[in-house]
Amino acid sequence: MRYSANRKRHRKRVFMRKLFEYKEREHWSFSSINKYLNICSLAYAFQYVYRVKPEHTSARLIFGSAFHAAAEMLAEKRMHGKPEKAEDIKDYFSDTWLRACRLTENICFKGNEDKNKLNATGRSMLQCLMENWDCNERVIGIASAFCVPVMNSENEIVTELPLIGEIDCIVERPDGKILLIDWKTAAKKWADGKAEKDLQATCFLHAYHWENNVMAEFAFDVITKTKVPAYERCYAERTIGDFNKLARLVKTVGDAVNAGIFYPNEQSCFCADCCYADACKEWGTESLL
Amino acid sequence: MLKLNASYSKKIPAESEYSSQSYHASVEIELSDGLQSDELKTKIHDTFNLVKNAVEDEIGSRDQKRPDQNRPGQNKRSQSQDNAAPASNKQIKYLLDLARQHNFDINAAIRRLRVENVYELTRLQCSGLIDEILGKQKAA
Repeated sequence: MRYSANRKRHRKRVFMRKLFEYKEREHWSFSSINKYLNICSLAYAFQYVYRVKPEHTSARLIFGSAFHAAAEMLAEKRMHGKPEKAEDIKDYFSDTWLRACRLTENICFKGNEDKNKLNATGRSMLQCLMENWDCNERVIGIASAFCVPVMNSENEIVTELPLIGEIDCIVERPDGKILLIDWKTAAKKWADGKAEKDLQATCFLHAYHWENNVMAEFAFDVITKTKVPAYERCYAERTIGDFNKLARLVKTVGDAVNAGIFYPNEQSCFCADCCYADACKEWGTESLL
Repeated sequence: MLKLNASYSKKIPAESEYSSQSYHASVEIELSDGLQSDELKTKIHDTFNLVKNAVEDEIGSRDQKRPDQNRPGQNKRSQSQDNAAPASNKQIKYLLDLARQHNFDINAAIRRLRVENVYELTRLQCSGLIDEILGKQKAA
């Protein structure tokens, strides 16, 4: 009974709430916090503060979006108990991916990648997901958007800006536990311990906890973009203490942003693919006076 | 014999905060059976305009009776639009802080307003909840 109530609530959420509505207010997101903390604070400033137009769009980004769209289609079929036709799901990916390639300006492919190779890769990755994702997990939410305050363990709100995001998929496991899933397309398998430290799991579990007063589980379903794709589920557990740390992190990042502390992180592995490379070079030539 | 029923109603903010005043007019007329569709459309259009203008005139005459007030057609309307706008982050933080300090069940309150998330409250709804918490505090 409890689970059917959960499912009903989540279904409603799936259709009622969309991320773009929450984006209209000033907010924090995992992406913005992660960009400042782990990628590059200057790239954060170009994107969120100075609103500089990106010099290119990474193929990786639009590939990920197309893969997510097709994975959502798969999840929706499972949610409603409809038959999964692998070819339909793969064709949906191809349509989305190839259309995005046509419509996006300045796509930046990495190495010897091109749209046709990535199309084939995406199709085999979806086949891999369909074969490996446990059918006994009952889908109760897809692309479920949230907008929650950032609170510490004393329930004090640490910043006026809410935290927003979208949970790719929410499932009820055979043992009745709720699992939040985030699909990841990755060049290779994740290193041991990566999921344990990942801030996204903390953000999403914090949001789910605030909205439902339930400590759910979280997993990254990682599908590799290798010739023979591999599927791996990487679990992440969080505690109230982690949420407290998140609140402090967000507060600290907010203070740093308000103080205008932005600098390049040239040791970052994201530097080579950065869509603000020219703006960054220019920043280096500007006088401080 | 055809019957045409046209009605028009309008709600505008009243003098006290969070209250409103409704104006409603409706008219029923009989039309001959032999009307062509174009003639019928014209009749509907004219009749609807008649009741609409009657309501607007009535609201206008109320405003003229209060020359000391600002032109309400504009100012009051923008206030009502403001009230329907989403609550600001600052306002919501204040509401949540108050709710925490006074052990007020915010989830039950937003369910009562048929809102799923506190960030979906309008300014007016948010102000109402803030007043409710402060009112309870005073009563206590």
